[in-house]
Amino acid sequence: MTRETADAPYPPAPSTGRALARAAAMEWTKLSSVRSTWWCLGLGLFGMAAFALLMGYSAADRIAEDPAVASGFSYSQLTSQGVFYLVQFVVLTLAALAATNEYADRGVTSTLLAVPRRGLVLAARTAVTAGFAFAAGVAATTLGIGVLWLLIGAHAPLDTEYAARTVLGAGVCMALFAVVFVGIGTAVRGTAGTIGVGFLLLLGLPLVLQLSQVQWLNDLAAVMPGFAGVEFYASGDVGFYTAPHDGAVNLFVVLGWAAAAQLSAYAELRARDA
Amino acid sequence: MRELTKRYGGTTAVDGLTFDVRPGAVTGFLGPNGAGKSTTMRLLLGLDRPTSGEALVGGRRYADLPWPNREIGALIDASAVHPGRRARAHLLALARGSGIPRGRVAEVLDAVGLSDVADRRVGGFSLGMRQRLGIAAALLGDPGVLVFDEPVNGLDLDGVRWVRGLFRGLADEGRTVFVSSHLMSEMQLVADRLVVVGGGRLVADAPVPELISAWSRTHVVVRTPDPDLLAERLRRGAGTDRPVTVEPGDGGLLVYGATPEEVGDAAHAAGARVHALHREEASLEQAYLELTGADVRYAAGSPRTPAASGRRPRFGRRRTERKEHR
Repeated sequence: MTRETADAPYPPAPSTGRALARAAAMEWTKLSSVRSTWWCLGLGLFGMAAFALLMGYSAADRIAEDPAVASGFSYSQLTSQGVFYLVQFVVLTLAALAATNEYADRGVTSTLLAVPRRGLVLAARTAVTAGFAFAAGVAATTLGIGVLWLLIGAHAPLDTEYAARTVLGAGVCMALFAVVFVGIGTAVRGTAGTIGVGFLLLLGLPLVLQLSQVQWLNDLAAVMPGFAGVEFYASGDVGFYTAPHDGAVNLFVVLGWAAAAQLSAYAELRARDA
Repeated sequence: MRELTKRYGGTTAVDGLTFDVRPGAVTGFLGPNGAGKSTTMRLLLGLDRPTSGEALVGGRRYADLPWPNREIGALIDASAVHPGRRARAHLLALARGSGIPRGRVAEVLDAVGLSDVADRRVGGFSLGMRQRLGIAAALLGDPGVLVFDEPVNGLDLDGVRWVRGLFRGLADEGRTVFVSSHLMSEMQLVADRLVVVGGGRLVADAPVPELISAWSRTHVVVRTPDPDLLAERLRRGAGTDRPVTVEPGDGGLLVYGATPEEVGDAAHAAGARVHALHREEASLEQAYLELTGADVRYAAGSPRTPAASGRRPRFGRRRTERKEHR
């Protein structure tokens, strides 16, 4: 195609940083303008509040029977379990939708017309979803701890520094899970497939590996993202058996999953027709 | 487009297309369903990767344009919008992504007549409204090149007339307008130039009037009880230098390349009785059928395109038969 008409001169080509910021603004506008995003956030918060109510109520009951139980009560352990059993699946759904919606409704064409550099689209989408997941993780964990504290604060004092570590850890881990599942979603392109794979990685596979009763398979469960993640944000105080190791290694395991998922997403996005 | 080719497995969707689309005119991109129109447009816009060849906008690949949406606006798939998103948010997201001031959103919504429903969810839109929204998205960056894939699908008569006026106006402003359609009649009304494809290959690339005169094969219908006599005479020459071809018609002959006067004179000279004699003007639609029909026939017999011949011969034969009946 040739074009000979005289145009108003365009501004010089934007820097990659500016282009990324624009792509992120676009992704945020899209993410925030569909109801499923807010449904996911609401469900996550509601789920955590309900979980904390239930757990707090039963703990208060036990403390009423035997006040000595109060000393063994852990805010971090209970809220971490809430994140593990409920919130992480909400983040999975959210990230899967953010990554795959546009393949279902073909909206990816208009996205790539606005931002033809596919790496930029992936980076922006990942960053925006991760940011939202971080906020959701922090909010849900804070809410969980708050509800528990309202119910049993009188019996079990809250170590705010320790609680803050759980809150922040859950936020970071949910953000990394968003990175993982936006990556997988972009590579797989199907919503159901992404959620299915995510469910297996977070819960199904590690449980099966543990059931095997074979020690090395059992240890392998610790490098699945769900188990490594909960070890990280519960600071080792998970309340059920996950893995033999504590500490930073768990964060690096989740980071490794995030990197692998993003690399496969990028390769897929570049090579395949939109 | 330069030698543009796209294969999907064993299927060749676009096969060595080469043509230019010029500014200041509406160029129609015409072909039957499955001719490779949408694929060509997607290749041009960098959505799909060509197997070989290239499609450039102003000499550059789409992905290399610094401000893509300001240089080329496109409507590829009108229903490709999240049904839960409001029309305004959809356009706002695109404006933000391409660095277009957000004020343009209200302008283009107004331009396509969707201002009143801008805050409704797209899921409730009719196909016509979605087409308008897609056109609004294409206009967002005020681009010099516009690409529309089947833009009149789903539009009511008012909408179709509005689109025609819009395209005319955009071309008159010096923009390049490239519109695909499988509807010949629509193209005849809106396009200045036609690029015709069939089976992924270029069939014609010419201004509309030239295409009509070159390909429409306007012919003379003559009813006669003595067709053999007349045909024999005509084949020997109807008193012109032009080549004359004769085909059997309904109760007589179809004569190509001669005027009614010449056919009448030939009949007189041959002693053939003539019951009726008239010229039949072929519309562009007929030209189109003949063009793509010819291409399909070629594809059916061509060993170079196994995919096309495997998929299409039945259509080709049927189309050819229909033409002979006419």
